[in-house]
Amino acid sequence: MLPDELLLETLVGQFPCRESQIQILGTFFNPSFPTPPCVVLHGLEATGKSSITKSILKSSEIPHAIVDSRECITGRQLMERALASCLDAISDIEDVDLSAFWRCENLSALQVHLELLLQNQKRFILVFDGIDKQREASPTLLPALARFGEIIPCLSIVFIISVPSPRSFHTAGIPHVHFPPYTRDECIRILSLSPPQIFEDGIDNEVNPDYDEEKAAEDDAFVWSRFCNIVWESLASNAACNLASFRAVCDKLWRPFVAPIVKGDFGTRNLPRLVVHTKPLFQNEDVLMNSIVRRDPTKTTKPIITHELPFHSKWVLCAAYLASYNPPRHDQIFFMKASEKKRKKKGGDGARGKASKHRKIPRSLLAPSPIPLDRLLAVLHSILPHSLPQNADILTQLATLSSLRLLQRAGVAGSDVLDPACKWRVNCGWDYVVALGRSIGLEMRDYLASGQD
Amino acid sequence: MEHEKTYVFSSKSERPNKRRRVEPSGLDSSWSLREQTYQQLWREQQRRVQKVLDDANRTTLDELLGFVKESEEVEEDRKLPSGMILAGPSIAAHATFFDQLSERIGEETSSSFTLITSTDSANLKSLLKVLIKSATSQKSLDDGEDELITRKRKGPKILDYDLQLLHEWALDNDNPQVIVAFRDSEAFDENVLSEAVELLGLWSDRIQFVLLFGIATSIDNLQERLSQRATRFIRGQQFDVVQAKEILERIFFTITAEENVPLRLGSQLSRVLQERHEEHIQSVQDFVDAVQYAYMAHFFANPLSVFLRLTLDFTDLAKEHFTAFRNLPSFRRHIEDLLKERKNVSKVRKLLDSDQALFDTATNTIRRTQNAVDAVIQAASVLYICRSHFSQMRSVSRSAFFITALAGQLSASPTLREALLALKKCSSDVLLRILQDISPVLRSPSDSMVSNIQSRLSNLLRDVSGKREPLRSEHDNRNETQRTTIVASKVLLSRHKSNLSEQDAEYTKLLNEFVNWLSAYLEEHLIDPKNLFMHELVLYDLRAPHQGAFVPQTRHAIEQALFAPHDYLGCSCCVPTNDASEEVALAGSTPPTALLYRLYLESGALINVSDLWSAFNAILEDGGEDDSSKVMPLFQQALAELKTLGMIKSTRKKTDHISKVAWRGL
Repeated sequence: MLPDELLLETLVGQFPCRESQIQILGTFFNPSFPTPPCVVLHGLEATGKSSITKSILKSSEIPHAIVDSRECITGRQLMERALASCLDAISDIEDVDLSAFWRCENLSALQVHLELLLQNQKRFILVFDGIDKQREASPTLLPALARFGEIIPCLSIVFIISVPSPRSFHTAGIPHVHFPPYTRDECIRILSLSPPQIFEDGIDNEVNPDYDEEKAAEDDAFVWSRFCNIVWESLASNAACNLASFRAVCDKLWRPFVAPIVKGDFGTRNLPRLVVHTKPLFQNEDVLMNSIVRRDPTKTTKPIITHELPFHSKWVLCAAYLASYNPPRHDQIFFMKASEKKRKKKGGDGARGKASKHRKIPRSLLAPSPIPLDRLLAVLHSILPHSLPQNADILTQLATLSSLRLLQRAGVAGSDVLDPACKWRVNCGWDYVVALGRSIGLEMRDYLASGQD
Repeated sequence: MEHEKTYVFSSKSERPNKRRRVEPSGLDSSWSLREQTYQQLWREQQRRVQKVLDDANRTTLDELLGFVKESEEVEEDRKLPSGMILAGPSIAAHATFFDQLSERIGEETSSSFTLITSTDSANLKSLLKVLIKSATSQKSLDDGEDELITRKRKGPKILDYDLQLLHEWALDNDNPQVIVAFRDSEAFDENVLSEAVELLGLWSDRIQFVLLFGIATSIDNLQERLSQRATRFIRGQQFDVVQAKEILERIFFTITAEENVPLRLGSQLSRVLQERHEEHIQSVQDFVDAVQYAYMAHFFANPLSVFLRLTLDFTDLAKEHFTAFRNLPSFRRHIEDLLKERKNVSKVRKLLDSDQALFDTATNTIRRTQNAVDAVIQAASVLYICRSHFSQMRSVSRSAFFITALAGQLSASPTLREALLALKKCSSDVLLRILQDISPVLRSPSDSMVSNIQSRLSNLLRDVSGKREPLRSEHDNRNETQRTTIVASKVLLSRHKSNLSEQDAEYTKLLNEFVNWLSAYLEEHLIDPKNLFMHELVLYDLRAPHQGAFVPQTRHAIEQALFAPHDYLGCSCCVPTNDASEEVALAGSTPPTALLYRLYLESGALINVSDLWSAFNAILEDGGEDDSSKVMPLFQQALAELKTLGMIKSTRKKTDHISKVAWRGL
C-alpha cells in the first residue's frame, strides 16, 4: 500500500484542496480493489475533474482511454472516437487484429467491439469527459453507456459531467463524486502557489547589490498573495468566482498593478500606498469581460480607420429598421408625404391622450417584425430627402446588407428571394441605427412610433 | 406544327438569303486597328491600376505575414492567434484581398492556408469537411502523398469531419501552421462560427491554428456574435485594410489625371462613376470594369478613335472615316472659326475637299489637343497643391477637384479666386513650401519662372536668416491696424498699413510677381476641354451606355412594359393620345396581362377577383370580344402571369380575394 499512498501524496501536492476526491478516486482506481462498473464525477467548470482523473489514471497501471465529448460534433463521432482510443490503449499492451474493427456506427456496434476487444483484459477504464454536453446525442446514450459495465465485466465507465440528474442514467446505485467549486481561501491558496515575477527583466544588481533572486522571490510571493486577496474582494467575488476566470483576471491586472514598483515609485513592502495609488484598476470592471482583441490602454492607439457603409446602404438600413419597428397602421402618420401640420394632427396628441387600459410591451423591446420588400422600399423613398432612381444598385445593396447579416430574410430559412411572400427583418440594434442615422442627417426618433428614450 | 413538342426543321431554300459579308468595309475597316490600339492602351492602364492595388494592400499584407510568422513562436496555451482584418463593407473586395494573402502566404511561409466562406459552411460538419479537405490537399512538403497513405494507421476509418485527420496530416508534414481564414465572417451563422472557433481552440494544443477573420462592419459586432466560450479562445489583433474610398480615389487619379494618358474620361462620366461608387457600391473592381467598358465603347463604337494610334498611315483608312470626321461638331466649329478670319479660305477649302489634307491636319492636331488636356490636368494639380497649404480652405476631394477642372468650370470659379487671395497673404515659409511642391509638377517652359522665383526667395531668406519670424507680405492682416476715430459723432473706421521692413517689401514684390504669373498660367491652361478641336477623340464622355450596362433599371422596365405596352410593341391599335397628362385609355386591344395590370394598379391592397374579372370582361366586350368562354382563359393566363411576376399572392384574409404585393414606382 505504501507506494500507492506516496503516489496519492504527490497528487495531493499537485492538486491542493482536493484531498478527499483524490482519496476516493485513488481507491476506485486501485488495481487491488474492485472498481464499480460505473462512476459519475460531477462539478462545475474549473474544479479539476478532468485533470485529476487524468493524472490518477496515468499513475495507476490500469489501461484506460479518455474521450472528450467537446471534440466530437456528432454522436457517431463519439462512438468512433471511443473505439479508436480504446484500440490505441489496448494495442499498446497486446497485439490486436485491427482489421476486425473498421467501423462503429452506433452504441450496439460499440458494445460488440468492446466485448471483442476486452475479452482478454482484466480491467479497463473508459472515461467520457463532458458527456452531458455531447452534440447530437441520442436519448439512450447515457443509460446505455451506464450499462456497459454490467454487460462487459472488465469494463468500468467514468462519466464526467457538470450537474448530475438522478434520471439521466436510469439506474440506481451509481457512485457519485462531487467536485465542489473552490472557496475564496482555496482559490487564493492555489494561486499563491505560483506567484509571477515583479521584475520581468531581471533584477538590476548595480542599483541595489543586496537584493538577490531569493529576496525577489520572497517579495513576489508576498505581493502576489495580497494582490490576489484584493482582486477577489474587489472584482472576482461576484463576477469571476471560478478558478480559471479568477486567474485570468489576476493575470490581466498584475502587470499594471506592479508597474509603479518596477518604475521605482513604491517599495515592494509599501503595499497600502500602492493599493491606494492603483485603486482605479480595481474599480474598472472591463477586465471581467473577455475581448477578442486585447486592448492595451497604455499603448497609444493607432488612428482608427473606419469603414463606412455606402451612403445609400445607410438609408436602406434605417428604412428597414423603421419598417420593422413601426406598426404598418402608423405608416400614414409617419411616412405620408403630407404637410407637417396634417401629420401632427393625425398622430401625436390624440393617440397619447388615450392611455390604453392594458399595458403593452413597448415595441422597441420586442424582436423586429418581418416586413415585405415593398414596404421597406416605400419607407426608404419617403424618408429620403432626394429622389432615388429605381435601379439595380439599390437591390445590390439589399443583397450586400443581407450577406452582412444586417438585414435578414425572415420566415422559413432558405426560402426563395423571388417568392412574393419573402419577408425581411432588420438585424441591428437601436444604438447602431441611431448613429447611422445621424451620420446621414436623419433623426430616427422623429419617425419611430414608440419614441425611444 | 406548334402542337408538336419537337419536330425536324427542314428549310425550303438551299442557301440562306442573306450572305455574310466577310470583308469589312467602310467604317468597319479600321476595326482591327482600333482593337489593337485599345489592347495597347488598356494594357498600359491595367498595369497602372494593378500597381495601385498591389501597393494599397502591401502594408496590410506585410503586417499580416509578420503576425503569422510571429505567432508560430509565441507559446500561449490554448489560445488561438487571430487576425481581425477590417476590410470594409464591400464584400467583393474581400475576395481579392484574401487571394493576394493566400498567394503571399504560399510564397513566403510553409503554412497551409485554408479559405472558408459562408456558402460552404451551412453547419459545423460541412465547415470541418471543407477545412480538412483543403488544408490537407495543399502542397505536402515532401511530395509525400504516397507516404501519407502508407503511414496511415490501420484500424477504424476516421470520419471525414474529424480533426484527427488534420492532426495526422500535420504530424506527417513537420506540423506546419494551419491558417484558417473566414472570409466573410458576418455571413456565417453565429452558432456555427462560435462552435468552430471553440473546436479549433480545443485542438490548438495539437495543431497550430492561426485564424483570420474578414470583417466588414466592426470588431465589436463580431464579438457580440461569438459565444463567450469561443471568445475566451481568441487572442486577436486588428489589421486595417485601406478604405475602398481611398483606393478608388487613387485609381481614379491614375486613370484620369496621370500624364500622357491618350484617352481620358470626361467630366460628366467621371462624376457619374464617382457618385455611384460613393453612394452605392464602393467596389474597386467594379470601378475598374466601368473604366474598361468606357475604353471599349470608345474604340469599338467610334471609328474615329483610330486616330489615337501613334502610327497611322493615310492608306489605312477608308473614305468613310473622313466623311465621319467632317461631321464632328468640333470640326465644324473649327471650320467656322477659321472662316471668321477671312484669309484662311483656301485652307478651309482644302480641308473640306482633300482627304489627305484632312488626314495631315488631324494627325498633327491630335497631339496638340492631348497636350492641352494634359495642361488642364497639370494646372488643376498646381492649384490643388496651392490650396492644400492653406488650412482654412474648404477641403475638396482630389477627384472632385479634377472633375471640375475637366468640366472647364475651374477657371472663373470662387475656388480659384479664394486660393489666389489666400496666396497673396501668405508668409514666406508657406510660399517656399508651395514652390517646392509645385516645381516637380510643372514642365520645362513654365518651370524657369518658378525656379527663378524660388532662387530669389531663398536668397532673400538667406539675408534675413537671423530673424526668427517669417517674412510677411503687405496684404497680410497682421501688417494692418484698424483705427476708430469719432468725428462729429460719426465713427470712422480706417485701416492703416504699418510700415513694412525692407525685406518685407521686397518679399511682397516677389510674391506679387508669383501670384501674377500663377493667375496668368491658370488662366491660360484651365480651359474647357469641350472647346478644343477634336476633343471627341481624346475625351470619352458618354453616360448612357454605362447606365444601361452597369445600372439596369430592371423593375422599372417590367413595370413600364406592362403599363404602356405600346412603347415596346409599337402597334397601331393603341397609339397613345398626344395629351400627355391623360393616361392611355384602356382598350381591348392591349395584351391581356397589361390590361389586367392596369386594373390591378387601380385597386387597393386586397383585390376582389370577381370584380377584377367583370372589369376585364367589360373592357374586352367593348373591344368586340363577346364570347366569355374565350375571355376567361385570357383572364386566367393574365392572372397567372402577374403571379409569376411576383405582383399578387393569394391571401387568407378574405375569401375570393388576392393581395397586392408590388407597388409601381418603388
